[in-house]
Amino acid sequence: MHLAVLGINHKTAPVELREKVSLNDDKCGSLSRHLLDDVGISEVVPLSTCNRTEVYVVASRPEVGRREVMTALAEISQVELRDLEECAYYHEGETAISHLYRVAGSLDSLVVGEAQIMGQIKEAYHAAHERESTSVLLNRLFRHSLEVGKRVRTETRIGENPVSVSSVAVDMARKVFEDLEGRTALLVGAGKMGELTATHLVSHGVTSFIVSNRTLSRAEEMAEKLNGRAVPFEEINDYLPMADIVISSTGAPHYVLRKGEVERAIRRRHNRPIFFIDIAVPRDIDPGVNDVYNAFLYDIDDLNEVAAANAAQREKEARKAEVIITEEVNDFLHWLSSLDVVPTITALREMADKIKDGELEKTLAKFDADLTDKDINRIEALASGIVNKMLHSPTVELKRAANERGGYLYVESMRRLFKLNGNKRKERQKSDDFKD
Amino acid sequence: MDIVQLEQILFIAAVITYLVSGGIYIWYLITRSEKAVGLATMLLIMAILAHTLAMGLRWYSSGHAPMSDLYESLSLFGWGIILFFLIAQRFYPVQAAGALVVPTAFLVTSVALVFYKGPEALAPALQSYWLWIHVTIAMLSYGLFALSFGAGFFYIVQEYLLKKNYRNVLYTFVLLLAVLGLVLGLWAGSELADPAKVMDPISQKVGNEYATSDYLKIVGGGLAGLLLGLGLGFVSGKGASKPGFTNRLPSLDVLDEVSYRGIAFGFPLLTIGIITGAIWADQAWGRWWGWDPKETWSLITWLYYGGYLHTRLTMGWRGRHSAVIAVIGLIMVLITYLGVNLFISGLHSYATAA
Repeated sequence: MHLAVLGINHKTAPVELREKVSLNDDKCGSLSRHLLDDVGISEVVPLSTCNRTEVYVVASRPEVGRREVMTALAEISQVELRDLEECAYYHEGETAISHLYRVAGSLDSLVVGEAQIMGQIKEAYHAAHERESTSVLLNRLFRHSLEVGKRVRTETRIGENPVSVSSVAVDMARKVFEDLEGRTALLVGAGKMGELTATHLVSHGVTSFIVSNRTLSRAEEMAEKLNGRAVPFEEINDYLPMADIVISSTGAPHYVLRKGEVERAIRRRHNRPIFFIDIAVPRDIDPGVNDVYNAFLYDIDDLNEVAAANAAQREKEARKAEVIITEEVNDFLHWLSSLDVVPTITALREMADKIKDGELEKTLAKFDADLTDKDINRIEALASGIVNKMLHSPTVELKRAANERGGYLYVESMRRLFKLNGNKRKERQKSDDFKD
Repeated sequence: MDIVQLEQILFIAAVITYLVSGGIYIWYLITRSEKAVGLATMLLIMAILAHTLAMGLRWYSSGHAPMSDLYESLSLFGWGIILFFLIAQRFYPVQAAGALVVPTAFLVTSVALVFYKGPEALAPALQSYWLWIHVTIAMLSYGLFALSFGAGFFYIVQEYLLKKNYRNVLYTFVLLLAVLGLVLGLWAGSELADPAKVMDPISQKVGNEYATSDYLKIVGGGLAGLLLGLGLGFVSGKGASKPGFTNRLPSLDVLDEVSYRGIAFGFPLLTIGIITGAIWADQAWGRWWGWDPKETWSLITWLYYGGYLHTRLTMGWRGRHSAVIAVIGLIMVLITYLGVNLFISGLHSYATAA
């Protein structure tokens, strides 16, 4: 019983390989079936996102896991085995557990602290559970990993401040306007960065867009995408007073928006604020605009500065998260060690002997001095005989099951039926594993 | 335990809880822990219940509405601040303003404790049902203006941070607080100094003669204030220049709105307060209006806030200018409310420490 993971991610593999090795639902299914056919592998959970493809398995021997998964993965994604071997990492035992926990805590993500990975792990696990390719070990590991991810998000501020330029821009806009719902945004220039920021605005409830561009056709194209309207470039200043947020990203060599025009626009808006985002280089908006009453201007440097500071903050939080992960890995290892057959058998024997001794003492005390030593020996032999005969078959079965798929179920059941664990908390978690 | 003791205990408990709750609101500003807000709010609700009970007991034991002396009216003022803050927090995300508003209420109520007097029968001039109508309405309007002040103050800070994008924030905080500390320190020092009164032989005027020890006190006070200001400025500036600090303050939109609402509701209350005062004055003193210092200052305050609403509604002012007016407005309120009673004698001076 070896927990192991084999995979590639954005740090180890180029995007071309990641694309090929990426697994959809069908591929996940056939890979799992294929691997489970092998006697050496008892549980499989494939996890595939745009930045990683990983296969978590429980294998009878470490070499088996590595070889089997590597070839199966190469085969199903139709890549050269050598290419995959070059980029793949393989962890087992403690490192495999800590790897999954770090992934769940988004410490291994391209953007540290991103929130999507938790959902992706959840989906991958549920799909594997549906396929019945998981059992006690991976069930427990994946559910625990989701708890770890949640702990990391709530106990550290790893996901708190945005680190991409466009989300920083939106975040800043929300410090001026509490709510972006129903606000109007004016896009000056129909560039890619402008569009990206605009999509962020859409997800925060901005519904009304005005797009203007030197070539009107580009503006019309983008306006259609955003469900807004296109206006001629020369008329920007007429539309400025309607805008709560202005995103400028033209390739113009000079300022497109000047202080005087902004002053006029704000006056016409009765001093309602305008938030300017200038992501163009060279800049589109006169820096003096920031001095205009109720105008707030952030250029690309401002946004980068905030993003960098936020990223540094996340790095700091990531160190706190590592501590949490170490703690949780130890917790899991503790549970894992309880699944070993030998200590379970020892515990079972100890319990039985304790009961036997107790009962013998009680019984022998009732006979006063009527018994000879021989009698005592006989009674003792009777008790031992019953205990040994009773325990013989479970002991043998346990030893045999240890090397089989799902063997932990026996150990688990034994521990639960005979209450071989003192710890209440572990007891509760275990009962969770038997649900659904 | 008699009722007076119980009232005192409840009031002191409320004051201490305001302090603790205010501390937690400041802690929230530093850590942004939502749990802290929950705890602080719960404490605040408990405190205001104890405070309400104390006021009720006072009413019962004195036999008249508890609004006749400085202790009672300061207590009511603090109560109003907390009440409106709790209401504002219920409807707007203004938890961060608690870091200023709740300590203000603590200060007001602890000053009330300093002026504590046992319940007494009402002075003849005050024996009227107008007492509680007039005073309650006036105090509620002051509470709203205090809320407006808190929101306005944080508007100015937040706007500054957003415009500067964290640059030079540390220097500004250090500079401002150092100057403030210096001024307050010098003032405290000169209050401590006790110059001899000397009559000038030629002009026959009484003047102050400062001894070396007096100068030492003033300079020492100034230095202590300066150092304290530098330290506070450094700590708060460091905190505010961290990325994400702006996230802990409410958005400009909300701060502007709350500051405006405070005055929009406070102003009509102040108007009614002045009108009821005039009616009462007519009944008690036989004239509606007599340019008594209190009356004059309340008129000035009324005109001042009227000016705020005018610039806002007809001239479209909003944002920093309005926030500055709201912040300075509290000074007007404090002059009208306390300054007149404590430093200028007039018909309202029964409501003093004496």
